[in-house]
Amino acid sequence: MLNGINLELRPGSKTVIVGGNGSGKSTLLRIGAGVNRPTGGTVTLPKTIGYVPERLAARTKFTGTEYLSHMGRIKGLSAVEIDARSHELLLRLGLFPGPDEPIESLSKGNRQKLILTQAFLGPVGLLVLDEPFSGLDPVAHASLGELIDEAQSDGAAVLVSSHRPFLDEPGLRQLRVQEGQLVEVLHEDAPTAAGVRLIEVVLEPTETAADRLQVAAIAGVSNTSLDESEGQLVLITDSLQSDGVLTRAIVLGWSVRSVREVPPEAIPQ
Amino acid sequence: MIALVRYVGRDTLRSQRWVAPLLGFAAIDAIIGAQTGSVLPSYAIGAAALLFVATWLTVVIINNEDPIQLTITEVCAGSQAKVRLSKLLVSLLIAVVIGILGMIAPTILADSRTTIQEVAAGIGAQVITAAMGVTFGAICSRPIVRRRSWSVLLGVLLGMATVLMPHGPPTRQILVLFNETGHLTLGGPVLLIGVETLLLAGIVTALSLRIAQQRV
Repeated sequence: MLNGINLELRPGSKTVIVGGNGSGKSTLLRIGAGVNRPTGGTVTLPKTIGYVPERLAARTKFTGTEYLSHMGRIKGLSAVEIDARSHELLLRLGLFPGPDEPIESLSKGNRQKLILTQAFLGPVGLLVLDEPFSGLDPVAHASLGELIDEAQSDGAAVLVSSHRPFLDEPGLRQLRVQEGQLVEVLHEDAPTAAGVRLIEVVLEPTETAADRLQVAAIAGVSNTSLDESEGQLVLITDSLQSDGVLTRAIVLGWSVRSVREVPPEAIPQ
Repeated sequence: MIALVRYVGRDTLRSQRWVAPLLGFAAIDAIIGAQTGSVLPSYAIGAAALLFVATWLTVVIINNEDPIQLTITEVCAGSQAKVRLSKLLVSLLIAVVIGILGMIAPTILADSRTTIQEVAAGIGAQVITAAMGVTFGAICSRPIVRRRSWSVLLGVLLGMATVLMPHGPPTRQILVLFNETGHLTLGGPVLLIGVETLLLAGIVTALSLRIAQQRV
């Protein structure tokens, strides 16, 4: 599936592996996490790795707290360290309803938050995150971006997979899996903050409108804010995804008031 | 390793999949417990049954963890072998405990007075067959054998081989020894079977760990 891969991940670097379904990016990340062994060649890995697989486990009988406690202990962390760090992480990612619920009763996005939390428990030399943003709400999406940056500045090498290239940033390396080989994604091919046209959508609820959190969770929505006085919801999306976002918002019972292109500087971070 | 053993133990208990092998052993124990005469043949049959139950229990414990969660556990532990070994350890602990509990009924029901040497030899036999059964379980479980039907077939075949093979360690040897010899000469032979089994189990376990790593 993969052939002739030569990849060096330096401490503090971020590498994005881009590719479609079945392109081999998960296989590459599994090898990167030490879960799979390559049929040929060598892999040298640091001692501590944080790993988030692409899919969620089907069965687990633990509550969130029990699960994180077990994983933390297996990593060699103390109960105090686990408690403090998981409390902080879950607060930032926004686990709902809470860590004491059985994992099997949680939604997909919330289970993903628990899996992310175990990966960020304790210091790691390498973070291997297989499509970590999938299924996350906007708040968790933003928090995960911060957590990755923090791990990077603490000296971890970060290996992330994604269907699409990330927004370009200094020092970011993006590679595409193509016919079993890694091909550098050229900087001009990667979407840049200047190249993407951001679209602002203003919505108003109808009588049958779904909760605004559901609107905020639509794929492609990068930012939402609520205008309290008018009851309007302001969404930020991009030109590639605005049609899909609008369709979905209308299906959810929200009425479109205005759509306009906005300069990136105007978006609150 | 202690954290791993605790995790595997808790995960196993929650799953309730261990109930079936345990009930299976209790049923066999109830049948052999009703035998009269010397206690030693009962201990030997119990040990032979324990080998099959330990294989079953080990397959249950190894296959219990979700395959995707298993990858996370392995990365957290920093070693695939450690995770697998901790599962074998939990299986061995449970198998030894139920093997020893299974000795209670035959001991109480025996006609003659049971000596401490006989009990010690009986415990030794349970530990030996439990260890061999766990070793077989490691071969019959994921990722080495994925289909349940093949697991059952291979487990039964391996177990039967130790029962039927002349001088085969450990089951045949224990059955012959406990049925024929007087109790004074038991200590040495049981120890010898133990050493033989330990060597065999060690080699097979190392081999199964290696195959498991390559088959992921």
